[in-house]
Amino acid sequence: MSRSIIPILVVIMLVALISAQCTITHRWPIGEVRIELIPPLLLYMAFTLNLPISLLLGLLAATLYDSFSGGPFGASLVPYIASVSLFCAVRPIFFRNRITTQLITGFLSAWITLILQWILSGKAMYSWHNVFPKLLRLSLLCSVLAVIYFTVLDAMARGMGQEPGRFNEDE
Amino acid sequence: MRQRSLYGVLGVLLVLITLTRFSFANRVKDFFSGGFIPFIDFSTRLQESSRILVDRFKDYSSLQIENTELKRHVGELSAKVAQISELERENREFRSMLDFRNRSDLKLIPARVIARDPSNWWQTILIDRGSTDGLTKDMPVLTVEGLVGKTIEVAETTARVLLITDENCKVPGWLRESALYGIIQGSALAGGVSYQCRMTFLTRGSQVKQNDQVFTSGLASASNLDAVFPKGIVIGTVASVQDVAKSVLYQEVCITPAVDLAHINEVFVGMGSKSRIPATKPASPAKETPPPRKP
Repeated sequence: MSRSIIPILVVIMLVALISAQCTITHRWPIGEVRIELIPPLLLYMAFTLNLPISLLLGLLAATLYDSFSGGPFGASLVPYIASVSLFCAVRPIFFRNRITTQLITGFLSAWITLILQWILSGKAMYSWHNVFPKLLRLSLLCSVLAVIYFTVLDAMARGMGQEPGRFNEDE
Repeated sequence: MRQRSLYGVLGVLLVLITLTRFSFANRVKDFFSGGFIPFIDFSTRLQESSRILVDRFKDYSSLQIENTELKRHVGELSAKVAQISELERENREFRSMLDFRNRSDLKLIPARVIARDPSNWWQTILIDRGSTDGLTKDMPVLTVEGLVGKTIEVAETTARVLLITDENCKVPGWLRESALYGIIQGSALAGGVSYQCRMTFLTRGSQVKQNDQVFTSGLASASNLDAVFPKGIVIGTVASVQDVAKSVLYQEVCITPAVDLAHINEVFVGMGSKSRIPATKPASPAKETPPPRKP
């Protein structure tokens, strides 16, 4: 089967997650924050797909996210692209399939994405000590989500006869 | 020989007939029947049990079918009950909305919330009314319970509403009992608590009572001389008052919004006073009453 099935899978997942983010997550705030569903998916993209496809999907994610957000259009673009580029660059040093890797990188990618998003939101003048606990909780939740995404999406890809994360770096 | 045996049999019969007329025969009968009763009883019980067992097996399959049918029926009824209660709730909500719309001085356009802000950094909602319905930027959005926010972006069929819990939404308000004026601002980030507001610019040391109701004051801002929020819309109640010692120039109070912003589904967009709103369609000249003819 062609390798193109994973990007399609990611796009379907992305649309479903954006819809859920806009309609469901506000109903169940965890520790006074609404769970962010997209940053762990960006990490999955960065660890599974090639850089151009990852960037393209990152751009799509940012556009969809900003379309529903009250913030300025493009406020998520820089954080998403930065996160995807960074983790695409550093992926050779990580053992992708380890849970510890997924937890740590899930936390880091969410932290980087959300902190950039907060800076670009135009609300950076509000006191850091109130934002910090929020960022921490969100990043921890994202690290758990990263493990779930890797497990579920990898299982789906394997079910379709593909081995995710095994690709030629020169591609 | 034949005669002898015949006499013999007759003799035995005679003896037996004679014996049966005495109690001894009864005792012999009782002895034998009594000895057999447990076996006969056991046989009867066994027969009865096996019959019941067979009947039960026969009934089991029909009972299973009946049980499945009843379960399906119960499921259907439960779904209907849930649907009816949901319709009742919706009906109550719509009735109160209609009542509120009739009572209000504002011309209110009902709208449905179609999406929430996906981000944690902004507090906005998307409603299914836009410029085609006459919506413009900076219109108040409210529910029966109180103020929700204001429109900030208007597309053709949708509009984005900035909630009062966002830091960028500033509402001039006043405390009813304390008779104090101030600015209500969101504190989702600054306070660290979702769906909370704070009222600032209150005179330092002023006596603010807890649970005091907060209303819109109807005052205009320096940048926009037309007040976005008309006077008298409920915003919320005072949840806590900041310690006077901690306040620097002004005192602050924490406000709990009157509207449960996490669960709103229907809202109204205020489009100015009913008396000031012109008719949406000008009366056609054909229908106008002709001027009286001069004789």
